[in-house]
Amino acid sequence: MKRIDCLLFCIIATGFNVKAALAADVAACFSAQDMGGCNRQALSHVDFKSVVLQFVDPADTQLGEGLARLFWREILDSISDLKGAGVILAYDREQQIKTLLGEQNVQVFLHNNYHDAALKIAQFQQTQMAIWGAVLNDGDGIYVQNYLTLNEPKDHSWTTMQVGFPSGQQLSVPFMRKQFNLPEVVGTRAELFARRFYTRCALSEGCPKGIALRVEPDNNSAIAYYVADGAALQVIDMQQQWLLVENPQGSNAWINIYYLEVYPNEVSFNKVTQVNLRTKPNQRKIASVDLDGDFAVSDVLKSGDYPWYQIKVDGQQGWVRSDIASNRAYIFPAVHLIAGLYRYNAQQYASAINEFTEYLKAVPEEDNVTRASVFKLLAASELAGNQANTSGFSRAKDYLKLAATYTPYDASVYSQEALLTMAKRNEFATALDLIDKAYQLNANDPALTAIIKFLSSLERDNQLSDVVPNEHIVQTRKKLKVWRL
Amino acid sequence: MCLNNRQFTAWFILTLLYSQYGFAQCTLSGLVDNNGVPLAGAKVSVSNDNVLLSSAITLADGRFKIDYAEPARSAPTVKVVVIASGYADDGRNLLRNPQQKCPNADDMHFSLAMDDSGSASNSAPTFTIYVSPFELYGGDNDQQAQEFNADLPNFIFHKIMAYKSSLGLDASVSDMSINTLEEKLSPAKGSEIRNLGHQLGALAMVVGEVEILPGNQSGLELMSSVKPIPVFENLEINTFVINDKLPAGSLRPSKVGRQLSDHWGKQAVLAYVMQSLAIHQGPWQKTELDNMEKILISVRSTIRDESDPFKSMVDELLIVVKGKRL
Repeated sequence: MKRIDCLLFCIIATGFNVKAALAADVAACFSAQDMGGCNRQALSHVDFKSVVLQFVDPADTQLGEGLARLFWREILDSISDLKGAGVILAYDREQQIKTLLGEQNVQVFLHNNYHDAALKIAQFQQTQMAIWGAVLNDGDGIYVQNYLTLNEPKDHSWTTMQVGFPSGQQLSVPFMRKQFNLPEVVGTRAELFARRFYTRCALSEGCPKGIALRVEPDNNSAIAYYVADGAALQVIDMQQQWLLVENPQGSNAWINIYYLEVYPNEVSFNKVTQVNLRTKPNQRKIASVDLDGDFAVSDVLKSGDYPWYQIKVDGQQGWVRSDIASNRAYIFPAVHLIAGLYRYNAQQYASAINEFTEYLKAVPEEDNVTRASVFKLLAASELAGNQANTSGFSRAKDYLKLAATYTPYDASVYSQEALLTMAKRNEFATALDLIDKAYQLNANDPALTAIIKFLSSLERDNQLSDVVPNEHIVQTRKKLKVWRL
Repeated sequence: MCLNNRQFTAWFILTLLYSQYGFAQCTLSGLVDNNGVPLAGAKVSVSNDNVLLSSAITLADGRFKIDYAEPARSAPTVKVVVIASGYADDGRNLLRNPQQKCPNADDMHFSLAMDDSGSASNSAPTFTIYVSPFELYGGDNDQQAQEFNADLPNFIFHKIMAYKSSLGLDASVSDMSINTLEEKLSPAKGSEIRNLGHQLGALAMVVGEVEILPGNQSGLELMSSVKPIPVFENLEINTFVINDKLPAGSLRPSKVGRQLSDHWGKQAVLAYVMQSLAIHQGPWQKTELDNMEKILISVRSTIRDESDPFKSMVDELLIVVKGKRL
């Protein structure tokens, strides 16, 4: 494994399809004089990427880097099959963030200085997303507040929704929020790490003695003991890139996250029938079961090419292969949302819908604004994935109706629905009503402005009939006069 | 009153001890200003040997009064420090009078200079939210209460700032700040809180209390509220009082935050609009009114239903802004 030495604010970048531990890149991005200013670009060959910034840690929980690393790893896991996608981790070993925070209020620092730094890094590194936040003390636990800010380094295409008209005309409108409040993560340190971690050999020369656990969280520290490749470990804490492993037979020891796979504590199945529930991985069958819904994972073992999950079905405990699960839980539920955005951009709309749906399931008590935004993303994914398909169109409309129940006074929901409806020439009257509604709520809504500009340009070029059915042309002209005021 | 020998001895020893180790009650008062303009909301604290003895916030007239108990055996000076957002800190050491034990300080005067960034100005409004420490009942651990109250303002501010950020209007809504009051204020004392808020020129006052229920009922009872202070053209923003029973477990500020939804953020942003309207001087510029309208439309876009009291407040404020355009 390549050793990472950083002097200032460092970036580790991983692009697919390479394994996390095999590609690492370092850039200095932070100094007291220029927070967020990087000296070089990482992952320049990767088209679509995000950057996870180390969490600000005003209370010195020592988890600022560690939790950002876990978030980074979970995003990597969620998109490991995507080509042309990457994730960058930006971390700070020189306490520059802390120095710059100084005596300032952490929330002011976070929302002004740190957000600015996140955007600056995203722009320089040409990442489409930046994830940033803070870890705070919360009684005997900790609390992680995290945010997602979208960046559009090259073009706006990935944050727009597009429809085509039978005449060949096309219209794209921006519909995504630029900033998301991601769900907070709350719990004790032990709860945060309460899941199975599995060792993996990350060295090109192999691990003939096994994988080393160390006495201190340092590559130069003495080796406490070795474990086999693929061993399950119980992690109880974390510090920077080191995880503290419980050792029932002796002293606890530290392992570098590069040698670990992170497995879920809950998985979902989507109507999988006649699954063999086994006594052990690849061993005797206990029963044949149908799996649908969420199941707690009590243990994980690796056997052959696959991890196996131990779950309880109808009171019977047994093992099933991991590849039949449709989804997995993450420490950071926002990973589903981020993975959905990656897949939306990659035009893998069915997978995007799956991730967005999982996100809504994982965060049922989320604020109405983010929830409405996710329904808008679902609508856009349905539309993009099933343009020619009536049921896709109808599902997209249903999602927008749901978005409107969460944010009924948000003009952009109606603008998006108007765009969708315009494509159906036989529903054009409804589209005009929706544009009117959006106009009443916010005449400056960007999606609405794009639609009005589009219709105006068609009118100017005498091409309104390309998009507007003849019986609605007079009314559309009248409306345009009002909307342009 | 007659004392027997034993009682007299005890009284004598106690008197002797008090004279040696007793706590002197001292009072400091004074004025904080900038070039003769009184500064409200400045924090004045007094410490001895790096131990904070007490602190106070200056009122609208820039005046402060601090009562504190000073141990007899301590450093010969007390340090008074004044901090105000946008101004350079000021402070001085006061020599204690050996007889009275309190410092010889008549009416004090601190004249603060603007800090290097020049961000403060006499005409710049401050948008400060004041948090009173929550009273904790039923707990058996003072340290727990102290830790809770130390972390709480950050969580409240987090909710407000996160809401503000989610509107995507950072450039339109000037920076808000949060300040902690020393005094515990009961949510029941509505008019007292409002008066203090007016004196401080506050954007909002946050008060609350938590009762830790005994084992068999096991849980936390929470009462908290945010009282927006600005009033404009007889419009007032609703005060939300949250009464809730939270499940048993550790007392964590996030439990309070979880119940807040985005009410507090909406209150703070609307209070910002009200304060901006109330303090505005001179004719309105189109861009200023556009900005107000943009903020109000953004807040409305986050409202979930017609019955939300913020909906009517936003609509009323939009009418006010429209009226200014005429």
